[in-house]
Amino acid sequence: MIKTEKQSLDVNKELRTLYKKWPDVKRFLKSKGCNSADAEDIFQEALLIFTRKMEEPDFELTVDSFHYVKNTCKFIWYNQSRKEGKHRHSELHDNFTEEEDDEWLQKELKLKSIEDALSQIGKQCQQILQLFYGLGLNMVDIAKKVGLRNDKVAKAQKYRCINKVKEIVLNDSNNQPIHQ
Amino acid sequence: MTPNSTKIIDQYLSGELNAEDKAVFEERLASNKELQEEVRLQESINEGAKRASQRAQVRKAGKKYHYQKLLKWSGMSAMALALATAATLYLINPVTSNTDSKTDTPEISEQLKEALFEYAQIDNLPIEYFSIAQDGGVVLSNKGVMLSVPKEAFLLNGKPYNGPVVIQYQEVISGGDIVKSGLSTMAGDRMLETQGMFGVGGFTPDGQQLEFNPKVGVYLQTPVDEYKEKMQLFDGIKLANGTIDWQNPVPLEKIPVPVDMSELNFYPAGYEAFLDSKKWKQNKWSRDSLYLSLEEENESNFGLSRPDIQAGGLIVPDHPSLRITPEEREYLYNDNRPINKNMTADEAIRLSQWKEGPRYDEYFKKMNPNANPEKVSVNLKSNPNSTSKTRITYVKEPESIAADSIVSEYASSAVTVAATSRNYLAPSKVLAFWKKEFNNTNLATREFEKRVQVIHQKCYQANTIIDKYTSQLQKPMWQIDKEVAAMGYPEFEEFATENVGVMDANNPHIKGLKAFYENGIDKLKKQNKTYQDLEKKRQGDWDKDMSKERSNEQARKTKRTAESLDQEYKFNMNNVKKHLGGKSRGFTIKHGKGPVMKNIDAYVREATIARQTTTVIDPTTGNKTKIKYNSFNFEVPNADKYLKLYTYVFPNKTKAFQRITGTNGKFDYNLNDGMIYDIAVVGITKDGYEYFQKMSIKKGSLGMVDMKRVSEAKLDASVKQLNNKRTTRPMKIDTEMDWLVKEQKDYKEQKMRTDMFDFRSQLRSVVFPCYSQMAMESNSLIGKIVEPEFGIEM
Repeated sequence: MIKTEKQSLDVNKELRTLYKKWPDVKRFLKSKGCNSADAEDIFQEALLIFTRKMEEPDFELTVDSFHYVKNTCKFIWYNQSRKEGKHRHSELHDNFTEEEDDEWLQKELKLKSIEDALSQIGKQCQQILQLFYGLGLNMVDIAKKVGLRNDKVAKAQKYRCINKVKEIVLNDSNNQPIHQ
Repeated sequence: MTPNSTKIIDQYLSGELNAEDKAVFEERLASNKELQEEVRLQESINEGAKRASQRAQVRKAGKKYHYQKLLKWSGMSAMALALATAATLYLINPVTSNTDSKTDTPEISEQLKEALFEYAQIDNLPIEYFSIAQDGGVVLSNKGVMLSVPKEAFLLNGKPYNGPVVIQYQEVISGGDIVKSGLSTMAGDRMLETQGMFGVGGFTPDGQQLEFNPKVGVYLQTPVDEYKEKMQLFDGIKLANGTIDWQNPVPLEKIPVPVDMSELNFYPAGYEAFLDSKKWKQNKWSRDSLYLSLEEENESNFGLSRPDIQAGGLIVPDHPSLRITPEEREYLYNDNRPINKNMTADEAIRLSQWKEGPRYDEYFKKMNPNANPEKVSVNLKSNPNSTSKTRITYVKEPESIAADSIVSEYASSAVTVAATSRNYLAPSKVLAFWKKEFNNTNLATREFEKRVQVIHQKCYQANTIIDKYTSQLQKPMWQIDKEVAAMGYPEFEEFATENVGVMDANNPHIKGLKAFYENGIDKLKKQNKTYQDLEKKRQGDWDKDMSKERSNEQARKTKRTAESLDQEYKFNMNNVKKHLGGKSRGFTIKHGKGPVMKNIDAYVREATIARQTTTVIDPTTGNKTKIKYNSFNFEVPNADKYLKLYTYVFPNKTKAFQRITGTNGKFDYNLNDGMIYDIAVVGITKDGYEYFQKMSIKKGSLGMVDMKRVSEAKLDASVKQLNNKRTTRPMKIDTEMDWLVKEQKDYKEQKMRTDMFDFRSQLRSVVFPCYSQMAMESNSLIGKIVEPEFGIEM
């Protein structure tokens, strides 16, 4: 889970390269009826999905990475507009014929709602969880970083943070289950 | 769901449980659906947290992208504060921070932030703090707004504050944020379209509020989706009801939009149009080099290179292996332009890069070798009888003074020459910055392009004006506009009102670029000089060669005529002797009026020279014999089209051949009755050769002959064949043919020089507004002084 320095550098580089194509994506999404504000969110979401996909050990990129990101954008946008009832497109599956991939993407989109819940908890909580699960730092370092006395306190805090998120998720999902 | 279950699930997921606990947990998990659900939830929370951290990475890439993009967009600058507040002094617990070094940034403690909180201009908006070192700095906000805080950007108690600064900053950029923050976009009762609202304040590290220094200020640059004209900066005034009204709009300092140098055009107006109208080469490289060649003012020097004025400069050892071959010439120039056979391949290569090099020599300099390189003022009164009272004042560079003085002499007018600078923008000054190295500076902008167009019109001051811009890359353009306006150019006042700022005052390359520019000018000048020297040498060598060729030809002609006469005389003499026999001394010759006694040898000679039929009578025997000449003539139609038109006459009994010139294409030549002739008519035209030949002629008229176009090689071969087959060991014609070819090429060369001169002076008068008058005067004059040496009297 701990990324090496090199890997994260590579990811950053790839992200920067892909970001340069933002105007293309923007144009593309706008042509599909998406507004500018949503477009960048979608683009970032697609980039995020791409970086995560790249981490999968058995994932092999069969198309060029920008193509992948662009398709993902399209997928997200159709998904979003379908939810909003704007579109009834069958186009959706054009480039995502593999069921598996579709499933994976759906999972990612669900994770996004967890992320939303995560963003509702305190700053420090967010930081702890991201440092621990995201960057794989140990609790001693995390304690130092967020200004807590020691790792024990940090750990206790971490559990409280998880609890908060769980509460939010469960409250929100009374009508709509978040996980399978 | 209990806090406890959260903990154990987390430990389970993190692999922190020991084997025993794990087994127990898994057993429980297997049978408990709710627990399974909970584990899955926590799993996804963990994953979600990871995802959030990855999202931060994506956002960072986005921010970076927009920041880089930012420079390409546009921005706004706040010379004054965006949201003004009354400056009140507020002291809080001083925070001791280490500010020994000028580049240290002060720490911003939580206490300080708390203390400064109440200064924040916009409620409900996050506040950012930036710490700026004493020497100033540039920081980037969350939304990618760049804040540049230079040294002494603030005042403390009315005096420039020189120390580290803490910046308190708030921003709203998107429409959504504006609504969230409850900010209005009302100016009085007008709605504003906003591209961002900012709250900025400066404080000392110990919390003292600072005032903006109106002379320096803080510069903000914000990314916008599109550049909108007429965006203005408003001051936000908090009204009693808590809303903010936006007042006192100030036009924004417009940040010039960087354009790639390759898309800009800094040539003088009309330059490209003129070249296009002449179907001149399109590529930038050629056009640049032509433009650079206009650097030297003395275009009028063209055409003055004479064999007696040899170009100085390069001395290249003449070695056959270094000489350029026709193949190389073809390769280098893609045409058959005449080349100097003494030119080395290396010189030719360099010259070919010059393409349309300047035609130039130092004639005028030689005319006035004492020209003072400093400022010169010359007063000339060459013609005391002149009634002209015109006084023309020129401001020119020293080299051209001699030219002026000649002009004035011929124009019979008194001229005062005060040399300070050239009267047009020096091409080297333009080309030196028109390079990609100057991208992202004020110079690589449409705004500057517009100014250069005007500067080109400024004649004598153009160079001084452009220096203002090129030497002050770090200054906002409007300031330079004002400086130029102050020199007496009101147009620039107008430019100044455009309020164009500086592209990137913090660009560390700017200093280096200045030196780069200066070097660039020097290099270009040297390059131009080198090409000029080369071209000068080429022309000098060419002319020298040509004149040598011509004097050789004169010598050959004399020799050939003498030989031809001598051989024909001998032939006639033999014939006469055959008929008369013996060693007679006296003759009666019936030639003209009545018989006259003459020495027989002399008579035969006379007859040969006159090419007239002559009856020779031996006075002792009374025997008569005749030296017979038959008339022969023909005409070449359209004779005027030939630069040179010759008929070569090849007799079968003498070794020498004869070259005869006709009159208006009419050739009349008496042929010796004892010989058979072949003739070859050679016409040199502007673009090649025409040829006619006829063999085995005794007499008569050919009428109009039909000239046919031939190649140089065909001409050469035909003439040589005629010459060689007529008799044994004929006189060699090779050098004659070489000379003919050379003459044809010289025509091309001279034509090229005249065309070039015309083209260039035309070009100059089109692109240099102050040039035309001078040029016309000197042009007409040049025509008088120098008669180009075309052709030689036969």
